[in-house]
Amino acid sequence: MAEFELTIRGETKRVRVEPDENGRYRVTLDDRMHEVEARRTGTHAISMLVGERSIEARVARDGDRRFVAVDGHTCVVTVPERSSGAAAGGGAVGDGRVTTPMPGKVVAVKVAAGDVVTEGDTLVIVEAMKMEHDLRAPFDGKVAAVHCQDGAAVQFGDVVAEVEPTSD
Amino acid sequence: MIRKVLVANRGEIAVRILRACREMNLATVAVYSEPDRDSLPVRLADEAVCVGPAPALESYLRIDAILDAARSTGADAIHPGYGFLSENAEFAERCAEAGIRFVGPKPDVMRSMGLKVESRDIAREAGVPLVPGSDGAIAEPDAIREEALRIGLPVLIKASAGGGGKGMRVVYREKDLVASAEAARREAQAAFGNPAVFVEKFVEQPRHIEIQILADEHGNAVHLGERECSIQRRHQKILEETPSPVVSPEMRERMGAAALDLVHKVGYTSAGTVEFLVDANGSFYFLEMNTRIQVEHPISEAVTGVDLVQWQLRIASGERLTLRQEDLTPRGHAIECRIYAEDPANGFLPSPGRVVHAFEPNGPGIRHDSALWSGMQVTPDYDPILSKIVVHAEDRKRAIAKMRAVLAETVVFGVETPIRFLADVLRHPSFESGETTTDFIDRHMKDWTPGAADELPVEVWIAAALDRVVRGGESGVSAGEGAAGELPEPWETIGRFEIGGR
Repeated sequence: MAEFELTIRGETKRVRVEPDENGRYRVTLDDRMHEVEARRTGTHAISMLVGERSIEARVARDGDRRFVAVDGHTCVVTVPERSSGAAAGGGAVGDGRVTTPMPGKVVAVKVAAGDVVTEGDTLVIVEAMKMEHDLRAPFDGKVAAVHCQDGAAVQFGDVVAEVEPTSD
Repeated sequence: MIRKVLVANRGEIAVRILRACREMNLATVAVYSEPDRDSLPVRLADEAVCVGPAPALESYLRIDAILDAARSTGADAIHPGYGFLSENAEFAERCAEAGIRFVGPKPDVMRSMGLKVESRDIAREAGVPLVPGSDGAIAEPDAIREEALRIGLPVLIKASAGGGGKGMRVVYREKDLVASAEAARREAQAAFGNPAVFVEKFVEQPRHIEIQILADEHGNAVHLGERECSIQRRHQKILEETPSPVVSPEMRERMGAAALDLVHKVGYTSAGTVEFLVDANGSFYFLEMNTRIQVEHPISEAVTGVDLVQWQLRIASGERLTLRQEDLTPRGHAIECRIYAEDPANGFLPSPGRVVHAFEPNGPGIRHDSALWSGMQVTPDYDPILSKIVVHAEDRKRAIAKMRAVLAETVVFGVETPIRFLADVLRHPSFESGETTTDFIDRHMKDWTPGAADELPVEVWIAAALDRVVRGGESGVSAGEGAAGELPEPWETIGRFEIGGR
C-alpha cells in the first residue's frame, strides 16, 4: 500500500493506492474509493479501466515535476512540501539528492564533498532568467557528492549535489 | 534548374520546406544557431551549417553568414520561410548578386509591397478597394463633417501626425460629428503641435480575410481562395480556417480577382498573400501584401490539393504554372491551430523550457507541421511556435469536431501551450456559428483559465496516483510511440516520491 499527497492546480488531495490481484488497484482520493484496473502501455502511457470505461492517460516526469494528461486536460502534479521529505506511508526521508527546479547556469558551488551541512545550508546557486536560486541541504548531514561546477549549464531536475544523513 | 536548397529558417517551417525538397529530390542544407544543433531541421537536412549563437541577429539574420553557408555547400537556391529574412529585399538582392536563386518575389517588388504607403498607392492604381477615407488632411470642422457623410458613418477621425490613439475619435452619429472633429483637432494640436486630421471609414468588428496567390515568371497567376484569420491574440493569428464562414463563391471570385489585379500590377512572382479587412456587410478593403509563404498556408493546401511550397520551388526554377483557376474550387473545410509555447491563462506570455514529452495523434485528415520532439529545449530567443495542427473534413462542422478530437489527444508536457484554450474557442457558440471577428478573443475568452482543480475529471487524479505505483503490464512496455526521440522515462527507477508498492 502506498499513501501520499498530490497537488494539482493548487488543490492537494490525500491519496491511497492499494494494489490488488491482476493489475487491479483501489485508489482512494480523500475519502472516495475507486476500483481501477491499470497497466503501463508505454513509457508515457497508462491504460486504465474504471468499470468498463477505458481511459488512456499520458504521463511523464521531469525531476520533481510530473505531468498527467487525460482527455485534453494536461496537469502538472507535484507533491506538497511537507510530504516530500518524510512522506506518509513509508516514513522514509528524502534521498538527499538536490535537484534544480529550472534550467539555468550554476553561478556558485558553496560546498565540496565531505563538508558537513545543516538543513537549509546553501549548496549551489543556480541562475536562470537573471534570477538566482539557492539550492539548499534538505536535512543535516554530510555532502556525499557534488555533481556540478561553476558556469555549468543545468536542466530541470539535474542532480547537482547529494547529501547523506549523519548516521546516528 | 535548382539542385540544392538552403533553408534559411528554423522550426516547423524549416521542416516543412526540407520535406518538400526531399520529395522533389533536391539536396538540402539547413543553417542553425548553436542551441538549435539538435533541432529537427538539422537532423532532417543532408547538410547543416552553424551560422552563429542563439540571438537571431547573430545567426538567422546574418546575411553574410547565410550566403557563406550557401557558397561553401554549393547551394543554388535559398528558401527563406517566413519571418527572419523572408521579406528582406536586401537579402533577396544579395542572393541574386551571389548567383543564388531566392525563393520568393523579385527584390524591387518586395520592397514596394513592403512599404505601407507605397503598397496602398499601388493597390489604388490597380483598382483594389481601400478603406474609404479622405485623401489628405482636412482643416475645417464643416469640411470634416461633409467628408464623413460622404464616406458613411461610423468614421474614425485621426490626427495626421498621430499615433498612440491621441487625436482619435470614433463617431457613430451625425450630430456628434462637429464636436468630435473639434475635440480631435484640439487633441492633435496639443499632442503633436499640428491640428490636421483625416477621416476614414471605421470598420466595426472586422474580419481578417486573406487571399493566397501563386504567380510564375511567365505572367501566369492563380488565386487559391481565402483564409479566415480573425481569431487573433496580441494581433497575432492563432487559429485559421478556410473557407471563411462569410465568403460566398461570388465574393471569393471578387476578392481573388482583386488580389490578382494587384499581382499583375506589380509583376509579383512566387507565393504571396493579399490581406483584406472585411466588414459586416461583406465589403473588403486592402490591408497589405505578404511577400512570403505564410504560417497558415497548409489550410489552403488542404482544400485545394496544391503544394504551395513545392510550387514556390518550381516557380523559382522557372517552371510555368500548370494550375488552372477553374480547378481551384475549395473542397471541404480546413482548420489550423497553432501550438505555441505560451501561457493562454497568463497574457499568452512565452513559456520556454524543455518539452518533456509530446504526442501528436494521427488519423484521416490530420496533419502536423511540427518541429516538436520529446526532449527539445524551447529557448526564449525565437518565436515560440512549436507546431501547427491542420485538419481537413467534409464541412465546417466536421472539421471543428475533428480538431476538437485531435486537441483532446494531443499532449505537450513541460511547457505551457494553448491546446486547451483552442479547444474552448472551438466549442464556443459564437465560433460554432461563424461569428469570427478580430475581437473574438477579447470579447469571449478574456479571462480564460484552464479550469480549477475541482473541475478536472477524477481520472486525472487517479492517473496521477497510479503513475507512482503501476509497473509495466503483461504486454511489456514499448517506448517510441508518437513523437520521435522519446526520453528515457525512468518510471522504473524509484524516485524521491515513489513510495513503493507491495
